[in-house]
Amino acid sequence: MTVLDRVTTAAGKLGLECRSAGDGPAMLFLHGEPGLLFCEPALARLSEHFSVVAPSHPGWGGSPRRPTDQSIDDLAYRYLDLVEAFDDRPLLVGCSLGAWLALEIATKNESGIAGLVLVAPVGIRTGEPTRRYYMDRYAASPEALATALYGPADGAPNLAERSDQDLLLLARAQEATAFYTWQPYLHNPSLLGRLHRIRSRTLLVSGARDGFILAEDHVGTLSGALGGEVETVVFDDAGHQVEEQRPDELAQRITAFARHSAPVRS
Amino acid sequence: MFRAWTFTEMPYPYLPPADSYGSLRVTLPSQIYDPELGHQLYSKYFDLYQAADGLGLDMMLNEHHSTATCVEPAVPVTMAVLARTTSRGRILALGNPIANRNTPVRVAEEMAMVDVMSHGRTEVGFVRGVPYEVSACNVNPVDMKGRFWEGADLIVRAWSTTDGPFNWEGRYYHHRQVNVWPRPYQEPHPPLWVPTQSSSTVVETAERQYKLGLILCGWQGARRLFDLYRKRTAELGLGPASRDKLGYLGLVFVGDTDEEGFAGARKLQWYIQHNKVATQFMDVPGYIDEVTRAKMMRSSAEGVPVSTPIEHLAHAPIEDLARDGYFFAGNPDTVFAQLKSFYEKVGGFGNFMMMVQGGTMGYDLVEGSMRRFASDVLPRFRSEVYAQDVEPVLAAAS
Repeated sequence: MTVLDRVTTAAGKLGLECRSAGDGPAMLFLHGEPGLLFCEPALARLSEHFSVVAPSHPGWGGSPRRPTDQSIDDLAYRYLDLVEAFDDRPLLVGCSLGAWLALEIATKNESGIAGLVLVAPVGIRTGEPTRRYYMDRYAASPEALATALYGPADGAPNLAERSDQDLLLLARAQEATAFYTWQPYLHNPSLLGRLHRIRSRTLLVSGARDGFILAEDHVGTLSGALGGEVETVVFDDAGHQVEEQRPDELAQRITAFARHSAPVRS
Repeated sequence: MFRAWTFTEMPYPYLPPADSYGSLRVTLPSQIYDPELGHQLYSKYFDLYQAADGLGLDMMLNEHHSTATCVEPAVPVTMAVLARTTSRGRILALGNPIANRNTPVRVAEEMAMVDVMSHGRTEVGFVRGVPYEVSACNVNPVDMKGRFWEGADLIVRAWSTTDGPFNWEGRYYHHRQVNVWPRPYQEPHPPLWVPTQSSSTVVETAERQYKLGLILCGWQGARRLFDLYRKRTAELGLGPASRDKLGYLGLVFVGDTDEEGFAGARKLQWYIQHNKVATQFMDVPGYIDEVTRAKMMRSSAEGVPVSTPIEHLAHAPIEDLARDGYFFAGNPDTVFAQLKSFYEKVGGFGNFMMMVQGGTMGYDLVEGSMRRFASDVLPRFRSEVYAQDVEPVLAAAS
């Protein structure tokens, strides 16, 4: 049984629907709000260099949400169990909400991971009660939200081209996002004070046209709070959904980052 | 007895042009609201309810948030006013948005207090609330239905437990000492209602034998949902569903002539015509199930905008809307015939909620309509239709 088979089997026992592909150092890919629906190009590129395991979080795709799955923090414990199923420590890659999840995992126990890649991470908040740190996606028009997430609104996926099953998965993903991120909105008030515990090397990726994360000091706050070495990179032509908009460049950047810590199959 | 409940949403009708704002709900700034005009409006609305009470009609109130269409963000407050300023009619809240408010014990206290103040004239509705009001209390829209029913069960338990505190450590609500004072005047508690258009909620309402309130779904929708309630009641071995369990809300204006009636009804259309809601406030994940939302996504992707459920009523002719059971308008004989026809088509019902005021409709106009209904429609309907044996109605309707 390959390492991917073993981890996928372990994921199944944890109630997680899982995709896996590729050959190379291990990677655990934690998707963002839309689920894995629009991640195909990024996963395909990453699997050229990594053995990628990409579960659907509980509530997304075919992963049911259990009564005990009430918060991103709860999900982190489930994923700690999955991390233990890897033979070699996986690189933890998280996108937006998935990056928040990666931070929660790493603050609890980072001994099982090889490093962190945070792509447009959410999960923290600072400032006065009336500060809009993130766009309220539930009060934004569809056009305004698409512009915030993708730069120009026409950069968003064309839903007319998607199947009925895909739209159902997207609706399910949006419901799960609402469930886990409604209040406190898109963050854990306790997380920022715990980030010093993360000493793993971290790559922090953001998009220059990200109109969803409104706090101008977000990257600085996050990188300053982390306890280890942090490398930051900004993609000029990307919004919040970096993994959808720049899959090739993101995969290249992550591959280069991973080379520092482990041999990477080229 | 067939009950007729008068109702106004207590609107603030002095609005800027519709193209100057994106949404009438949630985001319309309150700087538009003139408190002096607001005071005058509240005076008018409470005077109308007092007039209804004097005419022998019952009274219905509701609650909405962050909107000019219904400046009644706290139904316990308005119920309390009627508890003191009226003396005969029953006072129905349709209703308390218990899933949004997230404080069932407080709701139990408020409703018990109003019931005692009104000397046992209260009826209590529990509503899920419309999707554009999840912001008001910021409750999570997912799992609202579970929260709703647990809240209802907790409220009923709080009213019914009179031998001291109990604990409640459920999925959504945790209390260690629940001990509601006062206890309700009515025993075991005020009659309970649930307004809904959802088939599954109709079934759940029948299982608890709460009264069912349907709002502006036309006679075809009412027949379907009343039958669902009746069917579930029969399946539970409870015999035929009593007519007093079934209620329907229509827009009602009674004039001296049909022309006057239709003119008044066109003023009531203000409520439907002024209901601009931004898409994002209607399309709330979790409030609407994933299957329905996926279909909405498909429609949006194909260029069909999301609309409110009653938008199609905004500009239809009154005659058509009356034929379909949304409006009841005309002279007293015409309204009687419309109500009789509706009653027969839906297989009978016992509670007629009447929106009698909308927009800028003034006191004299509305009081006149209510007076004509109370004197020339209701007594005749009670004696010539309702008092008759219901079996021929059901047989004819089927």
